[in-house]
Amino acid sequence: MLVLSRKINQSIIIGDDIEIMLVDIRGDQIKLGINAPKSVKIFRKEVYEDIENQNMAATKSDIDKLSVLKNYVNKNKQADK
Amino acid sequence: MQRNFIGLFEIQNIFKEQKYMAEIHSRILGKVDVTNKPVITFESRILGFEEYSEFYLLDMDDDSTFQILQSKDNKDICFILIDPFTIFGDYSPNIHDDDIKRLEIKEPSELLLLTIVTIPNDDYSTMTANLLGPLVFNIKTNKAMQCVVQDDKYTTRHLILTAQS
Repeated sequence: MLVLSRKINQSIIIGDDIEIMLVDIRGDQIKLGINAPKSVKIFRKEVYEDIENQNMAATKSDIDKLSVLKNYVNKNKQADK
Repeated sequence: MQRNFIGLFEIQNIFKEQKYMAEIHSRILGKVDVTNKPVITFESRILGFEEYSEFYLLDMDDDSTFQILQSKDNKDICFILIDPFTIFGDYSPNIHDDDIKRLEIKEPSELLLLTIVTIPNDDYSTMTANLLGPLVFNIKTNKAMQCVVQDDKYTTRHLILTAQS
């Protein structure tokens, strides 16, 4: 991992067309500005971890009551109409 | 020489009569006949399950509310899926163009989006759908991936039973 220091309004350029700027510092939180083409995906890392954790929890789901709950879901839908 | 010829003929008959049946085991559905069912390939894996790329998309009985995504190779890797658009009327996920390209989806009719359901603590009243990481399928090529949507308003846990359609 490359580690750099930046002051406010200083930037880092990644590859040909990604720029990250340190926009603000407040206490222990910093604000980053990112300029990148639309084709580049940008996510907070916690998002991936959250999805991974949720996927794992989902495989533990039990379905003894699934036949009951599917009726409940259908009833709910009809009630809203 | 004549005896050899007859032997070969009998072997051919045996192959014709034998029906080829493919069967897998599912943690949720038990034994499932998957003959002629297409294998769905997750080239970009389901997060947390990087070893498993081949799945079947199975129906639950006659009900189409839920479907099951069952790993071909591990009976315990089994996800309950729901069509989010029938439950969350406002759901409008922004799927990244790169993901659409990667799945080689050329038209909307080739795209199927389903979301993973979690039933926490066996309490179905609190079951949730993951609207942040939906599964997107190309039903023409049977390729799929878990996409991360580009919206701040969706989470991995939206209550299903209290949602207004």
